[in-house]
Amino acid sequence: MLDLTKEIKLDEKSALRYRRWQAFFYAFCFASALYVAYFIFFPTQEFNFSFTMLTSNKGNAVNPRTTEGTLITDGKFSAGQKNYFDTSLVGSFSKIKLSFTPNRSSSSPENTRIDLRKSYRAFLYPESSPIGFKNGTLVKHKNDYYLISEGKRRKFKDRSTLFALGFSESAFIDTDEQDLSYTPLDEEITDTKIYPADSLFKIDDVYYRSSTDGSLEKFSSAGAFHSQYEENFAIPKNADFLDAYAVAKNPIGFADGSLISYGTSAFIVSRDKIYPIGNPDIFLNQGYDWNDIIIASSDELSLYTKEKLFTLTSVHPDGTIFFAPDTQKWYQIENGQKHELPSEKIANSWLKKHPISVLAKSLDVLGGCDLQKETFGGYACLIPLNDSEDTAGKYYEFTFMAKNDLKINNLNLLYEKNMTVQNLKLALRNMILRIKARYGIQGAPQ
Amino acid sequence: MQLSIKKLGKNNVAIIYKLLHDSLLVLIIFFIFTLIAEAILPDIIISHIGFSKIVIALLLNIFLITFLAGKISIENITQKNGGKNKSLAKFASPFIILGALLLFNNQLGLNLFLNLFIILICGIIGYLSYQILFNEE
Repeated sequence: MLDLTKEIKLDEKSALRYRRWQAFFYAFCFASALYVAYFIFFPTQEFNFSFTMLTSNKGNAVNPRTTEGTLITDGKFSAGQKNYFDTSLVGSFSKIKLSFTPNRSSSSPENTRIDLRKSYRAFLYPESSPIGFKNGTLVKHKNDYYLISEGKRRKFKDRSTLFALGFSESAFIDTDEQDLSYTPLDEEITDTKIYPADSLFKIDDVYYRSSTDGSLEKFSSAGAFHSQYEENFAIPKNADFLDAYAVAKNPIGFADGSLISYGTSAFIVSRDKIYPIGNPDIFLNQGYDWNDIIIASSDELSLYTKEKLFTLTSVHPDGTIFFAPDTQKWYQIENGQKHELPSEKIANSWLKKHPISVLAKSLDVLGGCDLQKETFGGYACLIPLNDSEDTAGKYYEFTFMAKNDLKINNLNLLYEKNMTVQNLKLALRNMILRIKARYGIQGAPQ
Repeated sequence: MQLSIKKLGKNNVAIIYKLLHDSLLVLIIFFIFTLIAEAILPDIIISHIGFSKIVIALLLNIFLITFLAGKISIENITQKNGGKNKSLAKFASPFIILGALLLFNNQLGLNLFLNLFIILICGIIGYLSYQILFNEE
């Protein structure tokens, strides 16, 4: 047997004792190794929110709040009021154990129903009015040709007006009345000398857009233009065309929701802000596609204000487009609301990259449980997670309505994995994929 | 403390001393395994067991070995192990190779030649530091 200290002599009786202790020690180490392996292959994730020691909650994402979004820090939940808490995490889990530890003075939370939805956080925003075509889009219906300008639909007086202005007939997207109805009709385009706002031009490989004040706004790059519009939307012009127009100082950047990269960093563009993406895992788990990344220059990057890191708990910013394959519907995020893009053609006018795919059924309650008294003090219940894996999105939103006024000391969520061969295979597969992704080996998730 | 050691008895101290060597071996293997696993897949181990815990356990083990070494009865020691020591180069080589591989892995995003150059520079600095700190002449 292994002896690392042969120079230390023991009498026969002590040597036997040492052998026994050594065998016990190595058996203990082997059991410990199995225990560690169990946690690696069947990991648990715990989230805790203590209402009695708020400073200990730093970094935890349980976020208990009211319907209005006010953070609940005193542990008081009023009867009949809807409350929320949430977590964001990666990984497939078999069940969630929810534990409430009530204060001694609190009434019992027994039989309080807790419901779960799993999706992307922004996709759970309330739905608002649908949106029509994007400004600058050229559409036609039967013999009518339109330019979408300043959120309205402007009809060309006739085909000769359209040609006189330099628009190409092939650039117009054939659509129907239903799609057009989402964009209100405005004044007809009759003038062949003055371009309406949101007309697009290409001059010496530089792209411009006419603005409301009659000046031109330059796109920062061809990449920026193509993140917003089709190539054939731009009217080709000679350089002398610029003599008649003032060019605005600030260039137009990338479309909202675009993914840009500079060096090894990737960012999400939204309005005049960019959100640096924390790491490749966050990029993939927030539903983005590597193929959508546009390489930006340092000048283009300087057009934006850098916001704080985009993590797994972050909400997709304004301009993000979701696609629900189960209902074939598109949605755009704007100002904390979700607007439907009512048809594929309308969606395509906004979308020049892959949308973020998420099942519409993730808006429904996927599971729930009723709190029951545990042997030692608290109240707990289990939500199985069998149905929630395919919906995409790593955001778990819990809602409950207390039957009585409650005063809770502690709220705990434990995500667990069942020890099954299937879960072991899944864990191994995920590990291999993560290693492949880390080393850039083909077959890694893109 | 002195009294407690006496109470333990010389053979028991020797047994504990031997077991501490076994635990040191296990801890070193676990530490190296953790380093390799973390290099390949970050967070796989340290999300469950922090590096600090492993290092503290290692240091505590070494401290106890050093402490007990002085307490072991002379009749328990059959021979000095000085003559049996392998040369430092032989002992250190696997660790140098492992260190170089971990360093290379850490700089995967860099240009290959820049990566190798940094490893070479680290090696030279390490060697010179060793010469300055431990060369007796």
